[in-house]
Amino acid sequence: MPTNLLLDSDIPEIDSREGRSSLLAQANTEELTSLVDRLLEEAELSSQLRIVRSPHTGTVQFQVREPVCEERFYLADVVVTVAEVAIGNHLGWAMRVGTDRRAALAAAIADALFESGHKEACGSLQSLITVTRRELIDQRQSEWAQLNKTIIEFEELD
Amino acid sequence: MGYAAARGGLTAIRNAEDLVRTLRDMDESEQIELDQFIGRLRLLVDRIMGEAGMWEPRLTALAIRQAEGDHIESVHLLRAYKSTLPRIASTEPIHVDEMRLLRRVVPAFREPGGPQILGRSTDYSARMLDPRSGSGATASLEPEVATHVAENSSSVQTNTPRLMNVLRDMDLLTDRRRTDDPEPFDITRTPARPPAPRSARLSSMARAETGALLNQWYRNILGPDGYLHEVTLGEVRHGELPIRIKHPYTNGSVSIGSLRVTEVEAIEDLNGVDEDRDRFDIGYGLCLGHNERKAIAMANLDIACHRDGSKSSLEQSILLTTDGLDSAGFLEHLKLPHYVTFRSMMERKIAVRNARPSVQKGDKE
Repeated sequence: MPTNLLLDSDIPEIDSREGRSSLLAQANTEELTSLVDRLLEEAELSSQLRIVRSPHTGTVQFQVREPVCEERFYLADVVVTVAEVAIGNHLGWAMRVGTDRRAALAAAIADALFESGHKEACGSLQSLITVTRRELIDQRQSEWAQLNKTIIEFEELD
Repeated sequence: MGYAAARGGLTAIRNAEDLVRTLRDMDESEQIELDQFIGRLRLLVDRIMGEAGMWEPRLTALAIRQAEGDHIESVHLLRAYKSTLPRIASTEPIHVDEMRLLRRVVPAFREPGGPQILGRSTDYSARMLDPRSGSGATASLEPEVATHVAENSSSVQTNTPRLMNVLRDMDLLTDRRRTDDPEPFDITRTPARPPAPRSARLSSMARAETGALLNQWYRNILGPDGYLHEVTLGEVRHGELPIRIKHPYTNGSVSIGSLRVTEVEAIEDLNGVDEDRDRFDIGYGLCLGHNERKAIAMANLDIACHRDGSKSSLEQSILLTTDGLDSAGFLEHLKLPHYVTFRSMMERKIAVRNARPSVQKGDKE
């Protein structure tokens, strides 16, 4: 049972497929879509691209485990958009929070490009997810710098 | 109660709807952008997401704008939208201990272990209208340094035990932890009716209308119901939980983002004849976004339901009357034509009167 994980411990790593998918799910929409557009064009991979499941919006049920009885319950639904593609024989999958189908499709293509091992594409995408990871860490540190100043110690009056 | 359909007036209905759209969208003021709702009306967006049972700030902002700020109508729009979406998956169960704290106050203990973080709060400030609010003139990029500065964020997050666990370590808490891990009740598929599993009550309260839940709490603590007493809050937390799902190819965990929640532990002083009077028990509240009133009411009602054990109408009242869309929908349907219903009621009155030979017309009994 995890107890109060480190602030940055759940920031995804870039060296696993799950970590890459996590970062592609949280990458800046414009940067992701324009990069994938460019890579498909430059690497002339568009002809090999096949849409396995076109991007579609749905929900995932968010379940939590509470600490009193250690019971699970459903808190709410989260709106997500999911897509699945193939480049040659390499499948790519992505899910992003929200309704942006173009971004979900771009993330799925990026996943397939990673799997294909295409050198130039992987290099560019690696840069994107490295920046995304850095931004997540920076955002948390900046947030913490503000929160830190609101830590309070109450005193009891005699 | 009987209903009969009415029809007609389609043009007037369309014109009325058009009037709403036109007067809203052609107002002389600037259109409010969706980002403004999310950034500047954060608590409203959070509340509506919670009551809609759906996390999506941008669509929620759209719903608020379309509904002209009517929060129940916004919830209606979002639930209607959600009902059109397929359910793709469930997240992995996220333990609330994984919360990344944005705020933590511990009303029960001065030194609870780990810091108390006020975060974004005006709890301790005087309420005065400020004409400059929202203009940027009141913003401070360099808040005053607090009396205590934590070394770094990581140490804070690792050294923040729950007050509940502190009480457990002191053997002051009844242990209700389960090991059988039952499947949660899904209130979106099956209506929850008493006696319901606790997971159904927690889900129902998490998406209940905030005011309705607050009212349930208040009439129980100061009003006629009286199932609540000795309220002490253990923890009040606001923070982020990761949204994790299984990767379909690898079965590994993918974190696709996070959402914010408010969490409350309410300590209950056990004093019943068949209760463990040497110990406390805990009620639990968790809801989407930053909505402390709702989470506090929920935590108190959770423990009240547990202690009550479905003996009273408390659980029924929570499950059947706190959903905002249910109650507002029933109330608002009264505005629709009830001509046939009411005519039949009048006819029954007249028939009853005519069936009494001894009563003269116009006489009163």
